[in-house]
Amino acid sequence: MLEGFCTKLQRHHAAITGAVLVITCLIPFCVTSTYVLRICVVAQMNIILVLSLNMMTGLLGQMSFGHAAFFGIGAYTAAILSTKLNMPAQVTFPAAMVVAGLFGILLGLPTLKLKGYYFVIVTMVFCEIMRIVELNWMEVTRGPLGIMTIPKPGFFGLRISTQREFYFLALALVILTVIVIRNIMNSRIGYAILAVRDDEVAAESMGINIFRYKILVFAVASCFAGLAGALYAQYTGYIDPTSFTNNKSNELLVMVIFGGLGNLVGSFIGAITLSVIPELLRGLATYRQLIYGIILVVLMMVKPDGLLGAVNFKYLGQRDKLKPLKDGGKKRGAIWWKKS
Amino acid sequence: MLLQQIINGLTIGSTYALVSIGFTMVFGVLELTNFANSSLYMLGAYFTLMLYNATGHHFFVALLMSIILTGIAGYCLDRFALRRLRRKNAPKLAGLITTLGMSMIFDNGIMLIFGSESKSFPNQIDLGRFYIGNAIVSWTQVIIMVVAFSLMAILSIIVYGTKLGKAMRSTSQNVEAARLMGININSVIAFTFIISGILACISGTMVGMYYQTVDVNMGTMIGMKTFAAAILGGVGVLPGAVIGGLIIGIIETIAAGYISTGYRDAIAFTILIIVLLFKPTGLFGQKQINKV
Amino acid sequence: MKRSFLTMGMAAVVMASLITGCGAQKPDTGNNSAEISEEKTEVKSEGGEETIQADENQTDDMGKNKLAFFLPLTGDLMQYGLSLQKGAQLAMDQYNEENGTNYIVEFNDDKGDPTESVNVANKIIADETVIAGLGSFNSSCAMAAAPVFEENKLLLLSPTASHTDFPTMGDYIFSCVISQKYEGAMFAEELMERYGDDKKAAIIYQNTDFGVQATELFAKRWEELGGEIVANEAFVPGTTKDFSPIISKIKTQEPDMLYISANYSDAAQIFLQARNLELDALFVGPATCLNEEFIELVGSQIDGTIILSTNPCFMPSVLENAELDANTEAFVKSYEETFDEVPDGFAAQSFDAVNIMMQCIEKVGTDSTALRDEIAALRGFEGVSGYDMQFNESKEMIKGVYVFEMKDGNFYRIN
Repeated sequence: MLEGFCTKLQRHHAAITGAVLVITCLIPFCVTSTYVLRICVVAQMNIILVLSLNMMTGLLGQMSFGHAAFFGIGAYTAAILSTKLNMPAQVTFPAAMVVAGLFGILLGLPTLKLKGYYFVIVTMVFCEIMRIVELNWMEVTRGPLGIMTIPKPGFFGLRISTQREFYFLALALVILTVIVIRNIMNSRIGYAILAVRDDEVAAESMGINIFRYKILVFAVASCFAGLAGALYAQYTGYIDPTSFTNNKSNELLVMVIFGGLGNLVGSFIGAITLSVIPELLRGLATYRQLIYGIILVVLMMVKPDGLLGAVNFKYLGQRDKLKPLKDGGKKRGAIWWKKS
Repeated sequence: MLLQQIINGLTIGSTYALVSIGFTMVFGVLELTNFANSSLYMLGAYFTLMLYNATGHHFFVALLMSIILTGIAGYCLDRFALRRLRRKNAPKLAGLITTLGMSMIFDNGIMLIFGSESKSFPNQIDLGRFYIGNAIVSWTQVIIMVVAFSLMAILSIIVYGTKLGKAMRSTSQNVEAARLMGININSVIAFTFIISGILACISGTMVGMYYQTVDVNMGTMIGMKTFAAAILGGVGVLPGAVIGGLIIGIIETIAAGYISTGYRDAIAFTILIIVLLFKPTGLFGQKQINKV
Repeated sequence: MKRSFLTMGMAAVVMASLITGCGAQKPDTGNNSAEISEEKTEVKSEGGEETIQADENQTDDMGKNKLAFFLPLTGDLMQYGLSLQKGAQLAMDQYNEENGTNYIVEFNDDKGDPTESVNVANKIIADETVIAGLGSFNSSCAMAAAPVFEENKLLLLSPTASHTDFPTMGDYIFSCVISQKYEGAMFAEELMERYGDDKKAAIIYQNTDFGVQATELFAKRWEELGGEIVANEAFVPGTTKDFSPIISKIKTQEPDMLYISANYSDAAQIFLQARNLELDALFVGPATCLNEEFIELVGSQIDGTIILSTNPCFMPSVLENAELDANTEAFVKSYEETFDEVPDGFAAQSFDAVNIMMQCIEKVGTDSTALRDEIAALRGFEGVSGYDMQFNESKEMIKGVYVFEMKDGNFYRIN
């Protein structure tokens, strides 16, 4: 049933993407409540994080438990640059990406050679190290006091200050993330990455430099986490180390797995659902972590791959195209199906 | 002061060692990073405290019942969550996520029932202290260390000396082959989880007595340290877990005493990463990992 | 084509339901004051039921007879809200009884949610009969509502908002809680006066915003007064319960005094471990220790420890042992009679807030500006949530310091 539905989705994916995009653009004009818009911005920020983490864990197959560290590095970079040096957003956002990416490479170089579970622990430990540094390095991060009154971002003099403007900024960043990741995955590099995930030994014997691709993916994923961090810092105007703990990392990983490992559409679903549900369940805030736990366990029992983890849109699209024509010879799908 | 700090470090290290033995054992048999291990440890401490009050302050009765209960909790973890995954042939990752979910359920369940405050815990083995030079050592510290080493010894005997241990080792090497040899995989794994539950309960109770308090976060607090200890020693190697725990404890103490108290954990973890650079399988892990 | 429309339609429906789903959750989150007064009638009636009203309200020359209190009466913070409510009600009833007046306190539920508190604030400022606002329980709610009051020149006095920036948010904004800025310095003065010979202090504090601020000012004042800080160590709360490395390190410095700023369970651990490592110093703990749980953790093992606080302690065991001043004794007694339970610190704070307000109203009437000046000039108020209470030049609350000593596993006030 799910597969049939997904086949339909794939068949009309251009139309659906267009429709969703139009609706997304209309939301801030239909909804005036700043509260709802705030949730939307946070959800979009989570989408960026989850997409980048999914690239790391789902497409490359390296389980990272420390994604919040890069999120935090980006946030602190942007916050420090904009408060201490009064840098505009066209500097702070790329700087946050670069710094987070560099840290990604720095961590990746020694650790990506480690076996899977060693890597899991090391990323987790790295997240904790970063939190401790953020807490203790008073001169730079102001430790637990956090950095306050971070200015709202301005791109080349264009100030982003209302909720609606932030909404579109976040939307633009999400689209940027999707385009970059999609293009990487649809290129030669993408196939190499998938080969590394499926079987390292086989990939290596085909002449793929495993290590180089791992570093590449790790760097790109950290970059986008840093980007989300910059958005977060300049959007909320206040950051402190409590936002970048292992709990945040786990939460992101839960979103990835909920949507389905290796499935970018799933990442959207995971990020949006799990950003909105806690708001709806605000009254149940004390049970939130418990509910998360139960969701995880039940999901693993019912669908170990996540909601859309077992769905391969590319494959479904190709199969659909090659299916013998039915329904009285009416040609279908061919218009919408161009590339996958 | 150095001597005192080393004694402090050995004590903290022993508490890590106690918990990481259970972790490394499950890892050895299943190649599963068991996030719920530190939750079982917290659960064990709470069971003991609860039963201690319920039985009218009979400590050993409470401890015994608590060991049984935590063992059952360990069994349930496997029976109701992980076994289904094995039957479905789900990826290893699914198991890891399941234990993460279970640990969230345990931690938050206990928090909702008992609240998040620290609870006072009775110290039944307070035998005073003695001096080595200027350094002060309490008997509780000695007992904790002795317990850690004896548990390691007992487990080593079980794993390397009994028929059951042989079954565990063969399961860890190749599940299919072991099944063909007539080993009941499910009971072997269930047994491993029961043992890890028992270990967690003993260590939780010991640590609770040492600090005279238990709280809901004691598991998450120690969780990452026990992973680090097991990794440092080489996962799956029982003596490695103990040595790894002691080393992490000593590094942490020295870091706190001589460098910076704020950065103590960061320094310990950084050293872990550096060690892995040079020995990617940990200190005692062989290239061909010598699993349980 | 048909199918594609169908799918698109479905997608649209899903999106739409998602949006309205969000919308339905919080229908009135905007800071839009016009629509709010209608939306919130429900809250008002709730408040009305809980207000124990005498006969027809007596009004003064301006027609104002009401203090509007917004506080969490539902949700996670409900228990605190209820304490505040009882304290305020008691204060008002007593005042009316003594003076034969008919002022009332109206209670509004803000659910502990900043958005909600803005809505309630807008409702309050729209009410002509309100003299001044009181509330809210948590700083975030109070701070969200403060601009509304400031803009409309209505006095807002929060009994519990402790954020240091709160009183600086406007001329009409006051808090009954002592600012953390002053607490540290006052503790240093008190300790120096009392234990002036113990000049070498070692500090262990938790690395949180509270811990950093509190100890920074303590250390500064302590050194100004001629004291010496031999060690100043931070720890990251929630990562460990073992403080023996820090204590061993401190021990080599041979301090006379160990000053802790942490929550009660960490403080208990530090004290116990310091005793086990035979650190010979005067232990000084923070106000967070003044609770039953702390006593349960440490028992009588650390007798002689000094606990400093700017708030009195309402633990039953402490109340039994302490010699209370007349004010406090009367408050505890009447509170127990009325509500059949022992008051807590929050009840005392809201009791004081109402009394401060009424004292000022009695003097200068109900004009907001006059009231503001009168409150800012408050000096030496003998309340039940502190003594020698006053507002300083920047209209922040200052209180006297209570010193408790631990004896036989209990706190005894010694000043």
